[in-house]
Amino acid sequence: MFRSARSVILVSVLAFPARGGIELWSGDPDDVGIDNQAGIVTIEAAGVFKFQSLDGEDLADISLIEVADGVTGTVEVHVMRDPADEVGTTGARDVNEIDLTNDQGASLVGVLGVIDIGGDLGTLGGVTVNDVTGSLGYIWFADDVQGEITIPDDPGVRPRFSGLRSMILGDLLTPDFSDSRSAGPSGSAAKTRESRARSGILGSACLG
Amino acid sequence: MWRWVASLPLLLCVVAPPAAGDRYWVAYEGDDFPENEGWERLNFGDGPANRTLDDGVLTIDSLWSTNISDFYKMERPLNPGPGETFVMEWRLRVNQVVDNGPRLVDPGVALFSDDDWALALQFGVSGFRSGFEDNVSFVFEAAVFHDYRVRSTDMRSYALYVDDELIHNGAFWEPTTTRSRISWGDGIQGAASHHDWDYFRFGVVPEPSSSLLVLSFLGAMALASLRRRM
Repeated sequence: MFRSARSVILVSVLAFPARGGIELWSGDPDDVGIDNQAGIVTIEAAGVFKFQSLDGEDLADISLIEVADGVTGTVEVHVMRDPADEVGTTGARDVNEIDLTNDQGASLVGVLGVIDIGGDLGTLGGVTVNDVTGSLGYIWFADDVQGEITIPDDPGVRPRFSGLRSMILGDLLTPDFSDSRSAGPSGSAAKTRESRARSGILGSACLG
Repeated sequence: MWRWVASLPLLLCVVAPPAAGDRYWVAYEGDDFPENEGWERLNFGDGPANRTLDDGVLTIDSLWSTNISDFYKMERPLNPGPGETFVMEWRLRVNQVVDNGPRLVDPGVALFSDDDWALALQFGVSGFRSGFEDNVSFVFEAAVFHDYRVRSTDMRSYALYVDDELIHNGAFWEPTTTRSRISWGDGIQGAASHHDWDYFRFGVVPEPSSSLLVLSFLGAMALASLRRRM
């Protein structure tokens, strides 16, 4: 209220160099919202999306990859530095959480560089976790997801699952943790998101 | 009387709030561009956005591209100590949002505490949502200024006030990221907007209950002393 009147200052558009952040390698940018302040990626339509997260030259964190309410169809997510690297070179230092619970389709295909969720339309056939270079905190599935989770025991691609704290599987049927060394129910996920606290935990992977 | 005076140091030890941490207060009032007042400007995509300063209001206009995020960040310790409250407040008007998706939010505020707990709010013309909490969104009068205030004593839970009315008791979320920081501005790539920031302030202040406790206790002691003298 004590401010003096000021004239309008118009700042021209300058060529600021990009300093990283979460970037969409491929996919329709109209179907994605990227909140670079909070590290939140919101996928707003079915499709294939490939991201990387950089802080300058270094890898940076992604707090959350989520599917917007009401999205139907198949969502495929990759996080990688090079979209040609289909085996999943890590494109983020940390992916804290993948939240696919809002996808209304029963089929989800998520490939996160570190995790491969494969399945057919109508049912989720299974979950396969591949090699991990970065870390992944949580994976959430909708309650109607059916199938099994498989963690291949392949020492050649270790270390895997660095930082993975829990998979919240909803009503996932027949969870099969084939890698008994690194998987097992824990139920200790720090579920701070209230609606998720009400979802069932039938299996979880707690890996170091 | 002398007994009361002699007991004063002990009373102060008992009722004084614990040793405060580094109390601080950062206030951006729209007098200059934020990067000239200690904030770091970050922009991604097709940014930066167009900006104007007029009578203490910073206007950010990214309507020419949905592929812009252009915001201001400050990294510093944030958490309150015992007997203190963290406060973050801002005055924002969102005039227009263009988004090809269903969400229609673009400007935002994000907070990552010293121990990695986070809060993110994303704003539209007539409402806002919490980015880390499920199903937390609010609708209010469109395209006018609203005053927002977040208060937290533990950086795990918070109270959110809009126009001095408590509308939400929420919870912080724990991502794995580090580096305590606060940011505000045009936060989202995938949406465009025209919006105005009147001010953005944050800091650590004494917890009201602690101050009131001290004053109440001292008042009661003074009253008791007066009664004894009468």
